[in-house]
Amino acid sequence: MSGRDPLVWRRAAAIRAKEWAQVWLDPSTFGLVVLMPLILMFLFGSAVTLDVRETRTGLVDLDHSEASVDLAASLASNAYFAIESGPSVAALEPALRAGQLRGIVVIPDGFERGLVSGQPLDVQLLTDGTQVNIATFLTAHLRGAMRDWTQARAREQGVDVQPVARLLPRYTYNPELESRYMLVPGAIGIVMAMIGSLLTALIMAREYERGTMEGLLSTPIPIPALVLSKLLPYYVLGLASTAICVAVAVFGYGLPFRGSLLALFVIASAFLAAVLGQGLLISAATKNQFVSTQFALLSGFLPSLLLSGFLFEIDSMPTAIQWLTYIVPARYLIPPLQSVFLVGDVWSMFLPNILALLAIGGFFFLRVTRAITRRIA
Amino acid sequence: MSGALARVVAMALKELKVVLLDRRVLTTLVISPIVQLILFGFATTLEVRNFDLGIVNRDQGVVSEQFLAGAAATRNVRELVYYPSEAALAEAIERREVLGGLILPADLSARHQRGETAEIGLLLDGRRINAAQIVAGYLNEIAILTGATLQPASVRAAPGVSERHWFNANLDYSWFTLPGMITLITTVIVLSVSVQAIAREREFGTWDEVRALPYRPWEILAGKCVPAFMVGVVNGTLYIVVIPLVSSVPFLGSYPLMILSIACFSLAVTGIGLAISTLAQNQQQAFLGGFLVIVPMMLLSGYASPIDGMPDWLKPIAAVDPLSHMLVICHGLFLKELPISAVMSEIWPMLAVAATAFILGTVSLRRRTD
Amino acid sequence: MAEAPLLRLEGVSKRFKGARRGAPPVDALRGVSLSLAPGRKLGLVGPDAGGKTTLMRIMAGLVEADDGAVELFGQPVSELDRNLVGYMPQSGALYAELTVRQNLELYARLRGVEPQEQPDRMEQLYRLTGLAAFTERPAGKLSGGMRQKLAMACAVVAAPRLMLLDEPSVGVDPVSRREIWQLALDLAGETSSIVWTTNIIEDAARCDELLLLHEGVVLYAGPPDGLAGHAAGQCFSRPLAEEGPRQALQALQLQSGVIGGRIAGPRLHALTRTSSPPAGAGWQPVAPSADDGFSVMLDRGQDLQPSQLAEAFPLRLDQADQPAIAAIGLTKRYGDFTAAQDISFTAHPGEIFGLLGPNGAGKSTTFRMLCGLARPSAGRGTVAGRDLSGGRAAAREAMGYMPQRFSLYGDLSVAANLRFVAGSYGLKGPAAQAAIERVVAALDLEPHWQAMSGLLPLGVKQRLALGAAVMHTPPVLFLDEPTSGVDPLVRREFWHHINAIAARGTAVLVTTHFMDEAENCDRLLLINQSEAIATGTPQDLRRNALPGLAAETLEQAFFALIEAQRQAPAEVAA
Repeated sequence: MSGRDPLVWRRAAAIRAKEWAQVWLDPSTFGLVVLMPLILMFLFGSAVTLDVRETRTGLVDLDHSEASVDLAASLASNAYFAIESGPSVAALEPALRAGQLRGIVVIPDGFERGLVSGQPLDVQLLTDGTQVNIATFLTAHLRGAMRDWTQARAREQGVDVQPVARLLPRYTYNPELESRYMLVPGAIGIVMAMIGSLLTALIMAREYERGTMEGLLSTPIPIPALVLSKLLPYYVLGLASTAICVAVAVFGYGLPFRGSLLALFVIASAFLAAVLGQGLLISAATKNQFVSTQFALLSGFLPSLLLSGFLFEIDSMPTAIQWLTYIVPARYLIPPLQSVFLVGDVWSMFLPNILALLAIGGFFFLRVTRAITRRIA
Repeated sequence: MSGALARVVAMALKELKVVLLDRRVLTTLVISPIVQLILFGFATTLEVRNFDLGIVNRDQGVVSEQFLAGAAATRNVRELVYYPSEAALAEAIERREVLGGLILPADLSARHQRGETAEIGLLLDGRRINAAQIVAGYLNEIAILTGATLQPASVRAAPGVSERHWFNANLDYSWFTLPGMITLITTVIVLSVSVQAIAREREFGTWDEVRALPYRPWEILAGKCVPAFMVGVVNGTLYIVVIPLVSSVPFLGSYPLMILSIACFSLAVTGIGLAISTLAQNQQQAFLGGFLVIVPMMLLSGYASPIDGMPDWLKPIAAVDPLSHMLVICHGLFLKELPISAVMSEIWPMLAVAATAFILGTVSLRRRTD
Repeated sequence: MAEAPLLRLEGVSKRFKGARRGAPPVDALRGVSLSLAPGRKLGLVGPDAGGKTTLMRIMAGLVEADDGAVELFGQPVSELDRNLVGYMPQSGALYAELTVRQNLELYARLRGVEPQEQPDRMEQLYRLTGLAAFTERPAGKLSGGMRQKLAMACAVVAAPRLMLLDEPSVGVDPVSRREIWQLALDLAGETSSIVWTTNIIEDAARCDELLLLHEGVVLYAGPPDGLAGHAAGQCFSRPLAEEGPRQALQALQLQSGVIGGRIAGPRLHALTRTSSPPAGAGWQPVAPSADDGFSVMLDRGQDLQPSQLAEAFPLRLDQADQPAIAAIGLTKRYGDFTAAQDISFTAHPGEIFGLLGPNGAGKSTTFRMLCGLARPSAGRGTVAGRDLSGGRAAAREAMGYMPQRFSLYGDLSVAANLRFVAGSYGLKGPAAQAAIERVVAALDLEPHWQAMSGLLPLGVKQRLALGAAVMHTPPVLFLDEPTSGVDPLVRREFWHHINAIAARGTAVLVTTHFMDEAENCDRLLLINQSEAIATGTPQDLRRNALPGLAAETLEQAFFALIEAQRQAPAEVAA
């Protein structure tokens, strides 16, 4: 269709110019493109951390012995715990219930006697099981702390017990164990998903709601040209937002950038193609700003946050939900994005992801051109 | 005063009709939240299950045999994938085929025979640092267990930790996510309804009609908060019923207290949404403005990451986030039989947020008469 | 041999399914046929906006007809070359936040005109529309007339062979209406055809051909003169004596057998159902106008009944000496621009006070300041003795307001809208119920009770808006162009109610672009270029418009006064 229209480029340029003018005039667009990346980068860079430190932990020493006091002191100086002592479990229990404590360590009566007699008693740990993650970490940290304490005491007494095997973990690409190395690329994905689906969800619905679609449709512009030229400014905005994110990540939070800008550009473009198509389809199908933002939030933002594998491992999800993640574009973005920061250009892994994104984008785009007809309802 | 009441009621009924008449709106407001709740509730687990573990084994002795048997036996590992060399393992990690891999050196069993500590290499994908650390934790436990079975009993005698997880004995992750999801989803729904309340009238040209009617600013806000508030309460109440039905999560607390909490929480979020709405010129600004608020509120709530881990200066900000209080109540009432005093101490901050937001909204409405 | 038609419709029908499940389908068009030769102008008239707009959209290829043939340029509409058609939708399809230039250049490029390559065409458009001085102003901030001119320019920028203009003159003052029509002719040139929809018969009568569409059926097709013929022998006129012109008109309209009447300068016109004159002395037969013919065709043989709407209003004539509405030096400035400068007037209970003036003159700004919708930069206003700046909610309780554009909730039913407004005025329970029932009965809204308001025909929408404004029987009524876009019979009905309400002692402030309606006001204030340039009774304005020379009609006076201000602004304003 566009091949027959000699003026199609001119008409497309007119739409692009109009979209740009509208973008410049609306402060909220810039809020989303500039402010949103900054806020998200800041939150994921500084506020959100999955490292569990200084967990508020209660301590009840029922033994009151030299060993128990020594253990308590050792725990208190451990960075993983913020210890609050109490006389009994019952006294600390309300705090645990109210969420002021995440766990209570109980050193049992006879703890020292057990050590001396060679039949040591276990230290008890009561956790707030509702905070599953914290409870898990707390248990592991306490185990480690107990082992360290035992070995330290053994050394003091001149007994050196060697463990049979020791695990020497090495974390490739991220030896410092920085969780922001993982979170920041995810945040970029969210920013792009938002700009793609939320902003574009509004642009078509707005034309229908305000009655301007009727004017556009009465002109000779072919519909694919109309759709593509409406999208282009938002594609550029998406890239701009990505650039802001990457700049903050590298210069603000010191993330390495080991891949190439070209790879980043290709990956971001493919992802934007998919989410822009998604937003546009929502918008064209609902023709209503309220409904389309709802859909954009529910099908764009939340899946990008929760089902993309950046916070939560996809392999650990129930099988049905794992299948569902295959249609979440962010799923194909996060691995290449993380790699382009931390590893380098792994094209063998990038290409399948890029192809998947382009396929999703192409599918949405086909549906959009079909959903937008020359007809006014 | 009775005129004021009639006006508030009229505004509330009108708003309810506008919001609820559209069948699509109704669908997005009630059905999709439930689907979301279940979908995301089960999807979001920080446990790491079903991962593939790479193995580079150069040792043929008893230690590697014991160790690999231990690793294969845990429910978290899906498959052990053998690689000929460390380089091959590194490449597989790079392509994300495995999350990490064990490198068992050739002298492993020999060193054990000599009474030395054998060192097992573990290479993990630092891109997925959270999952990697969790897996390292699992494998470390296996290493210790393996060691324990191979050591004489006398050496084994060290005090351990016997843990008991209260309120969620099996540490089932969905017990954390499902009650927590109530907070997140209710926020999204309530905020997106309330944020368009005034912006929509501005965009559709009905705002002049409202302004020519004898409404005072607080009456407009009071009437307009009703649909969002009700959507919040209805959705929240629905979740209390649905969650125990579709999952093993119990509800142990008091239902009236929970509904009261949901109401106060909805009121706070509604207030925030309305305050934004008074500032927006059109729906797009309202939605995007609302979104700029939703994301920080969610991330500071303590759901995605514990508040304890945040920098100290951010904690006061998290403390005024109504989501952080609602999250405590949700977990407290579902799982911990939180006593009324503890619930009330979380409700007051939410009501304070609601009051502040309504006052700001009223002021901004009064100032923007032109 | 006749030229091949440029546009041909044969038996076109279109049915829309009901707005809600179970609602009956709506027939927008039933077997409409028409044809238009190149260079001809067709006026499409009808009271129902839906049918006309649907027909226009069908011709623009934006709606598919269920039945019948549609051909443009000898080709079926599905093969339409959109380069040849300029369609101006009723909404105008302008981007309110973009400037005049941005809007025009967008549509120019979309329609294949590159502004840089054809500066002459662009310059011509700016010159003809008079928008050259406003190129950087956002379209949303233009006056109604300017906006319509811009929308038209956007539609026909490429000088198409067929111009489809949907209600280009709705809500536009008489000066601008003439200009818009002239603009269309200038833009079209000799060879282009125009289809122009309107409710104003005067506008349609300027076309070569006229097509009257009512309830989806063509009632009349032919030359405009032929329409007047339908009222032949049914038009009469008599001079107005000492009695109040408004009261005389009201008495006439309540007579049995009278379809309508209007005040035209010193004379009273009547249109009757038979060829016998109305009761009373002095009636002489006169030649009918197209408007009369239109009214006859729409007439359903029902006489007006005394207004039920007014009966509920308490008698308030006892406080007739207290001003019900007072504007004291009202001034509104937006930055450097002064929208209204030092406007003062008072209106008393029982008085109908008209605000006249071209679009953008400051009339709406004054009106909005008095309703409390805009805050004056200087001066103040009172409504029923209550100051607008202080107890604003109390002042608003004392007034009913009918905005220019339909501002009730389009996605709510008539019932829901009325219930909302009743509650908003603090009416509860039986009082609210009674008020709603009264309004529904008086304005014949019963058949539309459950219908979605946004989909109602314009006339019904306006009735609903009027009903909403008078539900609480306020002492002051503000009506902003209450009759714009409705047909003559609805206009007659409106003024019947307004007159009756005023007779109970309610003060009515009304803006209008129709001179026969202005004649119906007790006193008028003419605003132009942000200033009040004349005030007085319609008679006063006619007599004093020109020094030493009485104007024959109010319209002449209107043009003369505006012209006089243009020449010597300081003198007239003083």
